[in-house]
Amino acid sequence: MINPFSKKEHPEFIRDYLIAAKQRKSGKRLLSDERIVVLDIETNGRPLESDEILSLALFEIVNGQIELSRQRKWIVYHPDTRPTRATAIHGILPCETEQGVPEPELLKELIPILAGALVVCHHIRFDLSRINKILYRHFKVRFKTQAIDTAILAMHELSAFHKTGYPNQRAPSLDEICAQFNLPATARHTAEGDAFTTAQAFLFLCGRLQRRLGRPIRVRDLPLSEF
Amino acid sequence: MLTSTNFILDRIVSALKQFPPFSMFEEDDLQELSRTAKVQVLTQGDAVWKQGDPPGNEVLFLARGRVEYFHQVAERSELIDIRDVGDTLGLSALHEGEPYRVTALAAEDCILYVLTWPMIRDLLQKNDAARYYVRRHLFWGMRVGRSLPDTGLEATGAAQNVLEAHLKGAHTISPRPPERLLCCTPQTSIREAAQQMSAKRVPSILITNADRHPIGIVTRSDLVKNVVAGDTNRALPVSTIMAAPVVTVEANSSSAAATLTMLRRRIGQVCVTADGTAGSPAMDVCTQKDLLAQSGRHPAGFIHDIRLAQSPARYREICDDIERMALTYLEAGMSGMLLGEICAELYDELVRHLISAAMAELTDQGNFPPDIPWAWMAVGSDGRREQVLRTDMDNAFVFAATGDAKQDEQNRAYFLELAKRVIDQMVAAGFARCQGAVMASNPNWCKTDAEWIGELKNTDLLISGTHMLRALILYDLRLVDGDAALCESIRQTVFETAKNSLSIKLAMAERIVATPPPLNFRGKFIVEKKGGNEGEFDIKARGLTPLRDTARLFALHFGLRQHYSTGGRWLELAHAHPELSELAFLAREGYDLLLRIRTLTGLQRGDDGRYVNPAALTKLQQGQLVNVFDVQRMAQASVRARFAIDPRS
Repeated sequence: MINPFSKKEHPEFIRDYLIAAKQRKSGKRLLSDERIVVLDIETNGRPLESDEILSLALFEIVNGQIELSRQRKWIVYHPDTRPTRATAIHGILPCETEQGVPEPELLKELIPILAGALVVCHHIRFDLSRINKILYRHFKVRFKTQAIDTAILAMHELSAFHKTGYPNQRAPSLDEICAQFNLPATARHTAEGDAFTTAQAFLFLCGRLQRRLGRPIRVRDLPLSEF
Repeated sequence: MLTSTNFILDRIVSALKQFPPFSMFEEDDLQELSRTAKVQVLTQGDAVWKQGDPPGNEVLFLARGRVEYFHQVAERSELIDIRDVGDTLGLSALHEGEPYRVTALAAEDCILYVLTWPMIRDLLQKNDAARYYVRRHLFWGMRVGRSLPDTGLEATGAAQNVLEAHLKGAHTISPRPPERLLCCTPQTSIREAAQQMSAKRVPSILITNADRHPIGIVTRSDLVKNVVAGDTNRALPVSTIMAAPVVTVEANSSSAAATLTMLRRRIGQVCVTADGTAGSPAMDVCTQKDLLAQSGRHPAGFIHDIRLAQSPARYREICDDIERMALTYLEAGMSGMLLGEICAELYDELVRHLISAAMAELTDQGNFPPDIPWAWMAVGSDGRREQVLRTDMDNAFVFAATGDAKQDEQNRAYFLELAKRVIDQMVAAGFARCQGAVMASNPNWCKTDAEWIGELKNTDLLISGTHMLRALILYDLRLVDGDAALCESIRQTVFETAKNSLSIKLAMAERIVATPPPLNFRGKFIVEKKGGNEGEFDIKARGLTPLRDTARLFALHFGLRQHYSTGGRWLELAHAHPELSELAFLAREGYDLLLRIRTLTGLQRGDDGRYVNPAALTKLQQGQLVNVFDVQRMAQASVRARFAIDPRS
């Protein structure tokens, strides 16, 4: 039984993560020096309270290049899921989730990768809140990180998505960003396909930003969200 | 962990798989290669690398977008090449381990797959077809600062086949250091010259004037003939026994053609001069042995075969062999122009052989040749030495006028009969009869010198449609056999009348300008919409003709008469008029490329190669073709400017 009040009870990787998360980093750091992790999850599409992560994929960007050798992908173990409407979209069948990795195992592998990295997602709140939920469920800690939402970055960088002030303006979808860059959307609605597309979109957005700035990008030039 | 299919990896593999050299690799190898790949994104204007940067350890595959190569000289930056989807970047720099020769800029947003070079190098080493592709195609495009492509791929340590070894650095004459050349003045005594020859142990001595221009040559056999066997005094000046004029060839011209020249003229050496004429400084004297040492294997054997051949079947066999040789040479990357020179030498020899055989045959039948000078001329593409395929023949005949119309007709009848026999033999050897009946057996193309000259001088007649075509064919005339002076008098007339007649030049210029480059505004090829060749591209009318006509026009306009071939004309133009040299060099290179593509297509399909399917060309060839059409546009602009043709008319 894990005692939520004692940090000593945390497994080692959580302790390391908490230490790494505590170190606040300067916004002056160059983006090119950062390790960037682009991730995406597929869920069964319910509200947060009852939603479950079915799969998670991530790519790492080092030196401005997406490293395929460091690509990771997990299918998460769920013993008896029923097909929902989302199943038709992401195509992850119950028989696959029955053979997936249990959530604690996933976190054990995932958290060290995220530690000290800059996290990039599209619609970040959705992804991180679900990760946060299982992190809290199993280890009673909150996810603390600096993260970048490509949707918000796109609203800054692409004139098509600039804030106009009209009510109910919503952040652009990944498909809309792809259309702007004329990017081929690969294997959409799979975790790795979306993560890869997000990573490419992120790099294109950074390219735009750098051209606008006329100098190398520092971390604080990006719209950071704190979690 | 459940490993379901990896979409991203598959995607990269399938993207690579579509394009050579990756298409030649095994699927498993590609998987392995892709696993270590990285994906890089460049926005418009970003530099992939800069000129002079050392190559990294990575090869870039352009998955999306366009990259432009700029070559920087002093302050000027010039766009020299474009790479688009499916092209591989940086291979040649890595290969040769030297800094990038160009700056690569992203012309639009690009996605690049970054692949590790050592893995690719290993794969290339394993895969012959891929290595061959890389050697042949990728390196061609990266020739900044080089005149001839060095297609070596030594780094992989792969053995070359015999033909490659033969062609590599062997198709041109490279003169040795000039201090090696033994020469003396005409006043030197024979004894002294012979002493120098034996001291330096060379078989000949070149006699030059004060400007080092060759005026004569003395060989060992001359000494034997005149001094040892004959009784010429050794104290006499060497000019008394020298052979003059000296047969000259140009440095860096085809060594095979030079060998053939020697065989044809039955001499043992040729003099290499700066511009290929005796009016420029001598650089080297090459014997057959020297050239053989340079080339290893050459088509000179065909000359012997032709001389020994007796039957039509044998002629055909030899011609088939020549064509096969042409195909292997072209596939091994030989220049279309050099090949044209070689084939012209060989086919000329065949024609000479056929003429003497036909004459002997007629004499046997009691039909004796009239005792007047005559000449067999090659005209049109034959005259320009561009006929590699036997899909056409263009020839004409000239004989001296006697002043007596009746006698002329008798002579004509004899020569027509002679030409008919020769051409029948050529047809038996596989040549196709000329569609336009440009053949010496046609009375229209078998005339006395007076008739030819009269026709050529009638400029008003010449500029009308069909006569113009006839004149253009005739303007490229070249002696094959017979009396050189007779042929020269006609060529002289061509240059005089055309040079001085503005109306002829204007008519030629208008024809050139009337052919627009065959690209629509999106840079796609315009293909034939009607006739039997829909979807194909007429490389002769749309590509070769304008460049060839421009060269001819400039040659006539400036009176450049040393060369017969289009390539030679461009070169001569570049030397004589430096302000046009940029255009001339580009045009020559472009023409060579078009000629190669046409001849290769023709050999592969067994037709004249006139219609090319753009989709069947490699990406690199497509890109090069587009560049050639830019050159064509330049040539047309230059013609317009020089002959004041309004672009709107």
